[in-house]
Amino acid sequence: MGARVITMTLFFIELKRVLRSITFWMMAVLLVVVGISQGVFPPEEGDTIKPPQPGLESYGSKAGSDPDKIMPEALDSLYLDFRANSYVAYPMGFYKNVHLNERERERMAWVLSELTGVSEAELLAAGEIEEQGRGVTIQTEDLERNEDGSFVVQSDGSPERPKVLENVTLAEGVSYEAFLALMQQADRIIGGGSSYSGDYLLGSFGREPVTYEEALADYELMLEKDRYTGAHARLFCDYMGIFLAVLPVFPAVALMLADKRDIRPVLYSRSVAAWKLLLCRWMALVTATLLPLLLMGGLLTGFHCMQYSGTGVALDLLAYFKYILGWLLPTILVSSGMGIFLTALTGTPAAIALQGIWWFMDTMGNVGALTGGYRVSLAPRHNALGRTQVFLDGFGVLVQNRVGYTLLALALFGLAVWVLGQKRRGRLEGARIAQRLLDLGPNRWRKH
Amino acid sequence: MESFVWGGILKAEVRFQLLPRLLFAVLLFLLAPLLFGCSALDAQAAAAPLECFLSLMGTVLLTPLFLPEGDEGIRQTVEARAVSPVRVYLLRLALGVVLLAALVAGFVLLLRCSESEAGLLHFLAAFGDGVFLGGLGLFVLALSRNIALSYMAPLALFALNFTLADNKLGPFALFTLYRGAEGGAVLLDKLVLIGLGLLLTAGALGIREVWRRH
Repeated sequence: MGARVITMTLFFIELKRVLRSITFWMMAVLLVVVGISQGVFPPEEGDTIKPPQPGLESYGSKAGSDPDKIMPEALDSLYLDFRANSYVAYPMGFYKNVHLNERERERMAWVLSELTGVSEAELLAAGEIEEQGRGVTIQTEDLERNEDGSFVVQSDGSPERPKVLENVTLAEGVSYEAFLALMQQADRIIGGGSSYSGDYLLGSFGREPVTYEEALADYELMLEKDRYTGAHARLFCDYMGIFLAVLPVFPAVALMLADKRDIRPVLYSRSVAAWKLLLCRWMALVTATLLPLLLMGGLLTGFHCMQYSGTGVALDLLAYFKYILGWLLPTILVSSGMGIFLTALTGTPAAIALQGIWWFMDTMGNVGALTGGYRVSLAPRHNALGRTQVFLDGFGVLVQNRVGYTLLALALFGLAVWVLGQKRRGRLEGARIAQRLLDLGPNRWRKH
Repeated sequence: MESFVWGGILKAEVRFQLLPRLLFAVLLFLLAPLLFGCSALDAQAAAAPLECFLSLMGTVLLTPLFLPEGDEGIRQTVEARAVSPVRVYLLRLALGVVLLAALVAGFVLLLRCSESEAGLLHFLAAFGDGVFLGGLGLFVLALSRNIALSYMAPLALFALNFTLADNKLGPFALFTLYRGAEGGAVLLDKLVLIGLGLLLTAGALGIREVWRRH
């Protein structure tokens, strides 16, 4: 009983420290600003879920599933890009116009040759003619001057002169699986991020229009599973997750660095176990971070009750809370855990730098999978209002992702406990090396 | 005698202050080609590693200007010396700005040597963003004396630039060259950012001086 009281007291002490920290309040304000600027707090006027109206010209489009449509479209596009030697790609989410060198062009010609049955030499020649300009090359030896000063272009009728292949078709016997594998290879030659890789390919080529019946089925599925608020909560988590992958590291670092100024000698000599101390601090940080999110979720639930009051549908009043805890909490655990561990180890704000780099690579790497991009991302994306079937299809992967990151956060916590324990024993001199290398502050002059 | 003193100060600054920041800035420099590539990039693609990544070097090199004096004992020791702390801060600032310019120019040169279309405008884009972000962090550090907060402000603005359109960010739009703005507009934007950055830096020095005297 006594130990439990001490633990709870320690938790509330740490929580009070966090809530009095200006860094925490700056983070809370930023989260609200992000919600407002991204149009999810409150939702924008156009973001009201309504049943599709019959008789409209278009209900949007969806990724195709017919290989007979996907393959020719993708092949045409690849061949056009090959002839121009210009491929638009978005590796790391940033635009890039790729021009292949000689060796890469030969590799691409091989891919096209496998797809079309046309020889590599013919493909390469067509590409060269394109580069030289519009399929016509006139050299001085082709010109014959007339008496009046005009010129006549002679053709020697050489059979070696290549024809310009205007377009190509898929060779007989190329299976869809082989086609996808070759397209993947094309994407690798380009350097990644092109329209020819994996999910990009299916989303870019052979797209099909959504019918009224399909749009209605989507809407009814959303009503059944999401009951309006679930769909809005997912979009909320999509935007907030991007910033929660990095913002919680700041109050974590600030709190850990504050130890150095105030209470480190006391901290290292207390009888409270290292794991208990750090756990209370970590839980205080996480609890404080959740507070503005849960508050926004509550306000948004109220907003949606008014927004959809005339529909007769019972809203899921717990949707925001379920999504915040299930979707956003693991992200918060990792970024705050990283802040605690690296600051404990180095005694510097290095955690900000490393978490910042991780955040950048995670956010930019996700640009190709803005909806349903759940696999390995620290901040899973679902940048659409609705698309409930995509969410349901990827639910298993999402759960694995969230459990995986929670375990990672626990591992970071374990490492932080070990570091603190070692420092209490006067060990971890090795950390001084890191501190000397990375020290950006006054710790340089401190003796451990 | 004074040059001897300044020589000693410069040596200490480079060895104890600049080195860790420089190491991290160099890390960013080395990461940029790995993340973005640098060969045969057109003007828009060449702006990405500069504006959207290497501008963070400004935060790394300029924001922690007052950090050593964050320790009370060190601050009192430094202020007891005959050399004005403001002159030391200006020396640190000059070193940081020169390094930022050198690293950005080095990357632009690397792009040009790799047959990418990068030039003076690209240099100004990254340098302007870097000076502004560094100045913003420095100003927040002077006001709050909180290092975590001082990094949070520029990084939060940097992150918002990824999710908001330029017209919503006004003068704080950092990725104008990458997003295809006209050359003249980009030049003006970056000069404004440099001006704002220098203003924030001057403000930070002023606040620091006020704290010192009172």
